[in-house]
Order: sequence, then structure tokens, then C-alpha cells
Amino acid sequence: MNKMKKILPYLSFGISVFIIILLMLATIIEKVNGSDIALEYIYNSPYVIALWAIMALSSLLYLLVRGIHRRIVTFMLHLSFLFILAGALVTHLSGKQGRVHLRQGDTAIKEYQCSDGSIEKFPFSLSLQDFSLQYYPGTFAPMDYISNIVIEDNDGSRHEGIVSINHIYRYRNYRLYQSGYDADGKGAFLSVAYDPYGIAVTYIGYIMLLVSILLFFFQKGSAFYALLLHPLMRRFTVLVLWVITGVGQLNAAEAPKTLSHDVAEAWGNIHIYYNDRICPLQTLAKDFTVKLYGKATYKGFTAEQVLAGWFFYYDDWKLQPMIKIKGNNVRQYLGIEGEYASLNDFVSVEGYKLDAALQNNDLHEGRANVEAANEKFNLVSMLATGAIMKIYPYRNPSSNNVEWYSMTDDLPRDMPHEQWLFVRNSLSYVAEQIAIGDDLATIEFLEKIRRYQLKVGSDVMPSHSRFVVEKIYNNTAFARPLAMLFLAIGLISFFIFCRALMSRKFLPRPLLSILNITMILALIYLTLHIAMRGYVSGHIPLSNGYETMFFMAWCCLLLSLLLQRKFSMALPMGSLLVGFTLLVAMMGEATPRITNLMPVLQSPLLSLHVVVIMIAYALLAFIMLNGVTAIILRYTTGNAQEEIEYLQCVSRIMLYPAIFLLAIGVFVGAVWANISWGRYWGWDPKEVWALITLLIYSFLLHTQSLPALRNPILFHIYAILAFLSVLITYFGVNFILGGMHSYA
Amino acid sequence: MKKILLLSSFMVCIALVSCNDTHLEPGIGDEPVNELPDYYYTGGELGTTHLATYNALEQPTEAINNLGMYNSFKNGEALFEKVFMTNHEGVRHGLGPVYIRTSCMHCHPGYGHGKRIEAGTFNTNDIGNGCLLVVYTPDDDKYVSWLAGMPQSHAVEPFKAPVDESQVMVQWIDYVDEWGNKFPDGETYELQYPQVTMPESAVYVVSQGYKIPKDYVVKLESTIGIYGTGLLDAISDEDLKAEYAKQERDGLLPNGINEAFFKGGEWVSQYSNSLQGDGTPYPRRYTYALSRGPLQDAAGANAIWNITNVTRSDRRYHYLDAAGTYAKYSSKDPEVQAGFDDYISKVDPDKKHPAWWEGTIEERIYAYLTSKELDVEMDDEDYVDLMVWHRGLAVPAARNVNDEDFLMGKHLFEEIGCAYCHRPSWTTGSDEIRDPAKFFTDNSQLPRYPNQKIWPYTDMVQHKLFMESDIRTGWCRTTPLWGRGLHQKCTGSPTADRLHDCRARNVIEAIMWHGNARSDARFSIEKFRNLSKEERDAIVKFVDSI
Repeated sequence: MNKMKKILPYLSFGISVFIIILLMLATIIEKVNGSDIALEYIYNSPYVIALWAIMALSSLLYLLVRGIHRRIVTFMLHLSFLFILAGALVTHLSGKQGRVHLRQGDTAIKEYQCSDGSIEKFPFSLSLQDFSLQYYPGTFAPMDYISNIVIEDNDGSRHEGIVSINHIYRYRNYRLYQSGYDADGKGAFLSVAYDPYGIAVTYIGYIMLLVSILLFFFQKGSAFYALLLHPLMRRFTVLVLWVITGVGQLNAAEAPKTLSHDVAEAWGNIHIYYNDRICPLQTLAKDFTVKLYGKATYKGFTAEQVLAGWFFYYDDWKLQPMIKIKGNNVRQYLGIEGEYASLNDFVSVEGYKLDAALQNNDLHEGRANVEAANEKFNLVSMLATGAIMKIYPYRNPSSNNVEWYSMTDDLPRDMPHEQWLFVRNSLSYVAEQIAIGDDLATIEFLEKIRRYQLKVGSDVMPSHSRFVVEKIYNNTAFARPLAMLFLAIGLISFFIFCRALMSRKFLPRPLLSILNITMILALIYLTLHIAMRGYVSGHIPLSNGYETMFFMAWCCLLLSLLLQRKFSMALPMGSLLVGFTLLVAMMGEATPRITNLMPVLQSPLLSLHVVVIMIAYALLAFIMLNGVTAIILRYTTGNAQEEIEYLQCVSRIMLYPAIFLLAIGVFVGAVWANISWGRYWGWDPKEVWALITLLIYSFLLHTQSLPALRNPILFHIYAILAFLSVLITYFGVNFILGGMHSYA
Repeated sequence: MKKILLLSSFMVCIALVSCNDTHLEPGIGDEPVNELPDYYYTGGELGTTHLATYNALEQPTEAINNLGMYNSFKNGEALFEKVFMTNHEGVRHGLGPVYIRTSCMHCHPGYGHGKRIEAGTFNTNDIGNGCLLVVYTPDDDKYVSWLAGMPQSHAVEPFKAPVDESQVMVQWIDYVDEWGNKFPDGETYELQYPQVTMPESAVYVVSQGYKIPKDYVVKLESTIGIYGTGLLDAISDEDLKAEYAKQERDGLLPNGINEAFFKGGEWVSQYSNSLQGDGTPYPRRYTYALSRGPLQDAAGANAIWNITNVTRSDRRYHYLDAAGTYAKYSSKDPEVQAGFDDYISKVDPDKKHPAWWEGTIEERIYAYLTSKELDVEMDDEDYVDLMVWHRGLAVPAARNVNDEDFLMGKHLFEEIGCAYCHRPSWTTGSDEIRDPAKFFTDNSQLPRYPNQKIWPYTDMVQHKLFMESDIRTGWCRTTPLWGRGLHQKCTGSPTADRLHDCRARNVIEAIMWHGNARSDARFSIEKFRNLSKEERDAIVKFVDSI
């Protein structure tokens, strides 16, 4: 028994190390020799699967031998990983992925081709009733591909369903995804995924994991609580602040033409029906600019000026490199060097450069990037063509409802002449005045449009105060500077904290006051911001990623202010968390819902996936910095053992949430991928590296089994080196290894 | 101390808030109000629209607004945009028995020029494929008689499509010009032209035993935009003649004037219509081949009938091949015979046309197909509305007119001679409505554009460019350039699709296709080649902005 107790940890952890090395190798092999080789020789190799199994079994034995099963939560936590691994095995053995090609009018299909080339039978027959392309309004660019399919079950029942980019069709545990279409528009390719048992087992694992993590934090007497109550934790108090905000402005060298500031303001004051509500045109302008460029201003132009520029001075603006492109694959398609493309970069004499990539929508390979870029291109088209400009209300006489039209829409046949004329021509007159350069007349015409809106849509218009508040809201959305401010505060306070540690001095009260005041002001700002958003939208502002992140930032601020007396780290850690959450909120804001595509990128699961992982990385960065501080302390002051231990203590406290969040983040990503692509794990390099990171860091939690890591200095050195895996996951994969995550 | 702290925090906030406002703009009224140059108003005061949106080519002229012809305009718009049906009653009925497209919009995406078609099968179900198959005999440049001049590739059962378009293949062939597709300063461009193959087996009458008498070739010809055609109709006959006479006197162009139409200061051939009209001659204005005179009996008036085979009061017969092969072979086809009774009982349920019911089945089919007394499918009111709309489409205003590069481009366009054929402007005459078909008889029925200074950039005269795989006869009317720069925006096409078969994917390609050694534009192209890149780009911008 004792012998076993000695061998088992070596076996479990030893094989883990071996697997980590194999996985690292695999990502390199994939880069050099292609995914097929990596899959064949490592990921799907029976030997490697056997390794995983031995590791799992020996870990289980070791847990039992050590009596961990008596500590329910910890045991469940470990068991959840066993379930996840078991699920993977089941998927590997019984899951099927394939593809079918359906043609309109062809006889029903009863089998599909698997990715390995074999042919599998459906327990039903499948035929395509109709395939159609949905276009971006006002353009001829496909927005969605819709297959109407018919399933005739062997039991004689008949089912009709829709498969589109927006919609997966499920039948008897078969999931059908839209994956491509024939050039003549009369046939479609569907991806088929069938894996009922693997997914079930895996999901049980995920649920167990989540539950045990939650329970863990509520469990008195856990290692985490013991650390919090550690005597060293009560000794030091800290703090901070020094902030410089240099908001540099881009050089407006080759400024494109647009409306003057005043005319643009009048332009922004028009109402528009956008995102299923009536709002100032300014709101669309802001979303448009942020979506295209990533920021709400461009070369010193306000968002309204940008929108007006694209609408009235299209020829100038199509040359502006202001369309932010994510993903090296898309940059290559477009043939651009930097981050930004101009509209002209999207086309060549060969046609639309993204066409080939869009048509070839196999499951992976940066598909999301291509779609995102395509959406941006079409957003510009929808604006420039006028399709998005639903600024004309019309009261339908039969229903008495107010409908909104753009000047390019097919207008109702019963619309009175004067109105028809106004809708068709009023912006044309505005354009003429703009061409003449008569600002006063232009503003007057714009004001006429506004008066028309108020007259026709009187009862559906937002109140004046709501309109004004929305404009204030638009003008005071500072997620980015605020995020930067708090990241800076967090980092700087962290260093000051360390210096205080080294010199064993307390920080002067004034600095503490400044930090507190800044946080209070930020809290007031966030409160107002959230309240205005709630007022303007008319619902509780927690409906999407952006809003939840803002709320989370608000909570973090409040908590750090309240907890600072109990836990001195609250202020710097709170600042960093606020910074990160705001940063993530901004990422969400960079893809506001203007068009209705990209369900893959829109899912709330994605926001969660990103947020959770970002916070985990932030915490891991802290742990690394703690390590650096400890090493510096060790070699600069002779007598710093206590501080080094304290830092280890802090690191270990942060380690729990960090690793748990990382695990949750990775598995939320898996759930998201399963919903979007029909498989929860695809051995994408970023996935693999996240797993590697998770495995590497998990060693730090097992100090009872790995006594060497109990040594503070070794712990810190390990934490610094382990952070390399985070860097590779976060940066290295994008730049070196590629894969479908290259947009994140 | 506390106060200072509070103040400094406040400053941070102020700085944050104010960074949005640092961009200072001149106040209202500081900017000088520009007098817009007359070439901004491309369609004159009565025919210009100002917005460059997706529907820029679909807007009504001021004349429509002034006359209050909205209802007609709106109805004409619907007739143009919506699909015709094979039903025998209801809206837009009467499609067939054979037809080319189901709607006008199929060929005129966004009311503009057709889009470039992709290599592969010729597919007329594609919205935006504005190409017709031009099938002719190369020895005499005449259309073949065994297909309609605009060949149909669709039919209503039991009839068979005259051409099986799935057998018609389009390929794009790379072409290298005498300069190796390169400007002296090293900038390169690419050229492609379409090659069409139509095997004999694609022709229905051949499958029924007809022998094609001699070799034929197939070319593509794309539609051009509809907007502004009313304004071109308003140019007076005298001014048109004066342009021909001036060009003949100048003698500047190597290929001179097409002597089939004009010689020695006089018209040789004019357009006339003796079938519906009284044969009065009118100068030719429309189509690449200048096959048409005044707008009221020109391409649009014809197309609404012959593209769809929807009859109207003055055209109660079917558009079929000139030699009558289709009617002859269809009436002998057992499959057509088998379905004819069913078909004809829907077309003529009350048996008002005895000839379609009496005699052998072959005689009955033949009588139906060649009948000159078909029922009217589009009533006169709808036809008038269509023509109100047709004549009522405005031209988008020129863009970027005050830009330096626009002005440089404009100057160079004139200086190197482009403007000789792409004549920038005309002033319309009194614009009396003339209709060779005598359907329209007075000025009140249609919108008119008297005395307008318009900027179509065409001389309305034919010239020769000697392009590789050239247009039938080699003579091609100078295409108006107005509004062409909006093609991509209005049709969603990724390329600019210029020239008669959409072979040019951008302006540079279009210009360089003018460069053949024997081309009328050779002089200008040589000059163009030797301009600096900046100057060439300025011309491109100008051409895209008018």
C-alpha cells in the first residue's frame, strides 16, 4: 500500500508531464506537417489515448489511496475531469462527423460521408426542398444560406426543418449545420454531427466541474480558506496612484471629406429606426464607426461625420484604411499589411476577394474572421446604398401602425404622393445642398426631415428627454480610456505595493485618498452610465455582454471600495478587474448588432468564454509578477523570507480562482464550439495550448503531492516559467501556430 | 490638501470627457457656398437626382414631380421590377410561349448596365446577367434567321426553348495587347474577353431536323442603363445631324462615319416603322447597333414585348425567329402536339380563335404561333405607365466635382481627345414627343425635357474600336458614361463591368480596350499611355465621378 502510494503520484504526474510535452510537440507538428499528421500520430493515436487512460486511472487510484474520496468536493472536482476524459473517449469511438450534399428535386439521401471517407447510414432519409440565399438589405451580398429540408423517418413520419447559418437542425441526435452551397444556388452542403453519448458524458463532466468549483469556495476549511486566514495575510497594507492619460490624436494627414461639425450634428439629430428601436442617427453612427474602426472617432472626425462621410462622400471614404480586420488569414485574402483595410481592398479585378473563402465554409479555419470581415464590408454597402437608413416613418392606414422605410425601400402602394415624394427625394435635396456647400440650407433640410418624423411618428417617438439622454450617453461612453486608466492604476498600485513590501513602509494616506476618490468618481460615472443605458433602452441593462460587463465592473468597484479594510489587495486587484472587464465590454461593443449575421460570434457564451479566460490570465499574470517580485527581493535583500512567503501565499490565493476560471473558460468555449460547429473539441492549437496551460498550472495546486513546489522560491520560479505557456497561448498561437482562434 | 486632491481627480475626469471635443471646426457660414458647375447637373435641371445610393439610377426626374405623374411612374416601376407570369390572367400575365427573361430587372440590375457573367454555363436565371446571345453569320454580319434576334432560352410547356442555354458555354480568355498590358512607367493591367460556344445541339429546331445553312458565331451583348434615356431622346434631330456632319467634315477618325447611316452630310438610312407606324424616318439614336430611333419605339418599348412575349394592342403577335423555323418545327413535334390541347384551352378558353381549334394539330399549332390576332395581354394603360417611368428616370449628379483630381481628370479627358466621341454635353431641343409606332401622339402623355443642358458624355455616333472578338459589325455607338461610376454600388457587382460585353473590370481596362492600332480611339490611347500614373488615375476618377 505504501509502495503504491509512492509510485502512483509519480505515475500520474509523470504521465501528465509526458502528455504536456506531447501536446506541445503536436502543435508544432501540426504547423509543420499539417493537421492530419498531428491528428494521426498524436491526438488520435491509440498510444496517446492509452497514455491519457493510464494517467486517468492512476490518478483515480491515487485519489482513493490518499482518501480524497472522503473530501466530497475535491473528489468530485477530480472526478469531473475523469468524466470529461471518458466523454472524449466515447466521442472518439462512437461520434461521427460528416457531410451531405443535397440538390433541390433530387431523391432523398439516406447516407452521409464521414470525415474519414467512410459512408454511414442515416436512420431516416433526407432531401432538400428548397435552398435560398438571404441578402444583406440593399445589396447582393449573401447574408444567410437557408436550406429547407425534409426528413422522412423510417417509421413513416415526416418532418420539415430549416438549416441556416443561424439555425442548426436537430433530429434524433443528428445535428445538421449549413456548410456550403452549389454555385447555381440549387444545392447545399450540410455538415452532419452525431455524438449523443460522448456529448452527454462530457457535459456531465462539465456540470460536475462547475458545481464542485462553486462548492469549493463555500467550503470552510479548504486550502483556499486556510490561505486567506494565513497569519501573513493580515500584516501588510498597501497602496497607490499615479495616472497619466495621454490621449493622442491621429494625424489627420489625408483627411477625407465629410460634413462640418455643425451639419454633422444636425445629421446625428435625425431619428432612425435601428436595432428594432427608434434612436438618434448618432447612435447608428457610433455603432457603425466602432464596428468598422474599433473606436468611436476616426482621424478626429466624430462618428456622425464618419457616417455622413461614407454616405455623402463615398468615393473619398472607400480609400480610407479604416476597416479593422482580424485574423491573418483574412488579411492575406485582402492583401493588406496592417490591421486596417480600405473598402477598395476588398475587391480586385478578380472580384470580391472573400468570395472563395465564404463559399468554402467548411467547419474551421478562421471562418469567423472571414464572416466578420464580410459583415463589415456589407455594413458599409448597406449604409452607402441607403438600405440601412430607415428614417422615414409611415403610418399604415389599415393597421394604424408606424412602419419605417429607407429611401431605397419599396414603398407601400397606398402611400400618399406627397409622402412618397418626400421619402424618395428629401435626402436627395440634402445631398444637393451639401454639394453646393450651403451649411445653413443643409441644416434646414435635415431639420425638415426631423419635423416630418415627429409629425408622422408622433406617438412612437422617444420622448425628448430620452433622445437627449441617449445623445449624452453616446458622448460619454469612455470604456476604453476608463479601462486603460484602471489597468494602469492596477499595475502601478501593484508595484507600489511591492516597493512598500521591500522597504517595509506604509504608503502615505494622500495616495490612498486619491485612489479612493478616483474609484468613487468612476463608480458614480458607471452608475450614471448604466442608469442612462437603462433609461434609453427601456429595459434592465443586463441584456448582453457589454451590459453585463459594465455591471460587473460596477460590482468590482463597489466591492473593492468596501473590502479594502479587510483585504488590502482589494484596491489594486479590483482596479485590474475593472480594467479587464471594461476592456472586454469594449470588445463586445466593437461588434454591436447592426446586421443580423454572425450568430457564431454573437453568442453570450463567447463573451463569457472570453471574459472568464481574460480574468484567469490576469490573475496568472499577477502570480507571475509576484514571482518576479519575490526573486528580486531574494537577491536584493538578504532577509526577505517572510515577504517571499507572503507573496507565495497571495499567489496561491489567486491561483485557485485563476485555474478554476481557466478551466471554466476552456469548457465554456467547448460548449460554444459544440453549438456552433458540432464538436466540442477540435485540437485547435489554441485549445491545445489552453489545455497545456491548465495542466501546467494545476501542478501548483498539488503541493501536497509535489513537495518541491512548497518551497516558496521554487514555487515562484515555476509560476514565472509557467506564465510562458499563457504567453504562447495568448500571443504565440495567433502569430505562430494559427488556427481557427486567430481572431481572439 | 484634500481640496487639491479633489481638484486633481476632477481634472482627470475633465480631461477624459473633453478629449472628444478637441477637434475644432469652423462655425456655420464660414465655409464659402460653392456655385456648382453646370456639369454637376448631369441630367440638367429637370433630370438630375443627387443621392448616390443603391437606388441612384431609379429616381424620378423633376419632370415627373412637376407633372404629378407619380402613379404612372410607380406602376411603371412595378412593371419593370416584378416578374411576369405564365398565367393567362391577373397582374403581369402572358409570359411566353417562349421568352428571354421573366423580368426587366433580370438584365438591368439597379436599372443599370448588366453585370459581368461568370465563366461557365450561360444562365439567364441569374439576376444581373444582362447579356443577350448575339448569333450571326460572320461572312455578312447578319443575325441568323433560324433564331430570334434576341434568342429565347425559356418556354412554357408544351413548347420547347429555342436555345438550350445549359449547352451554351462562356469562357474568359486572357488577352495581351501590343504593349504587353503595360504602361511605359511600368504599371500593368489585365485584359479578358468572353468567348461563347453554342453547339448546334443546343438549338431546338436542329434537334427536330433543321439544317443550319452556314457557319455562325455567338457573342455577348450586355444591356446598358435605362436612366437618362428620356433626356437623350430630347436631343433634337438637327443637333444630332450636325454632330455627324461635323465629324464627317473633321475627318479626324481613321474609320470615319458608318456610311450605312450617314454620308455626304445626309442621312443614308434612318429608323422607321411601317408595321405599326406610317414609315416616317427618324435619325437613329439607341442601341449599340443604332437599330432604333425615338425612345417611344426604341429598345424599351420593344423589350417589354419581345423579352417576355407579352402582347399589347399594337403588337398582337409573337416574337419568333425570322425564318419561321420555330413555328414550323414546333407544330410537327409530337411532344408539343401532345400537350397543345391542354395549353390552348387555357389560352383561349372561350374558343374565340377558330384557327387554333380547327384543322390538324400541326395546322392549329402553326396558326397559334404565327397568329397576328393574339389577345392583348398588357393593356394600354400599363404600357403608357411603363413608358412614363422609362422616360422619367433621372440621372445621378456628378460626384467629386470640386476635387482637384476630378478637375485634372476632366481637363485631361478633353485634352487627350476622349471628349471628341464621349462628347460631354448637349442641349436638348423642344422635345416634342415622337413615336414611329404612332402609339404616343401628344406631348401630355409623357414627361418632357425641353432646353436642358445635359452631360451624357456621348456623341450618339458609332465608331470602331477593333477589340479582340469585337462586337457584331465592329460599329458601336458611343456609350453614355453618365452614372456608370455607380455601377458597383447600384448592382452589388464587385467589378465595374464596362464595355458592351462587360469585359472591362475597371476603368483602366475599359480605356485600354480602346487601344487597337486601327481603333478610332488610338490617338487618345497613345496619349493616355504616356500620362503619369497620377494623371491616369485622375482620368479614372473623373470617369467614375461623372
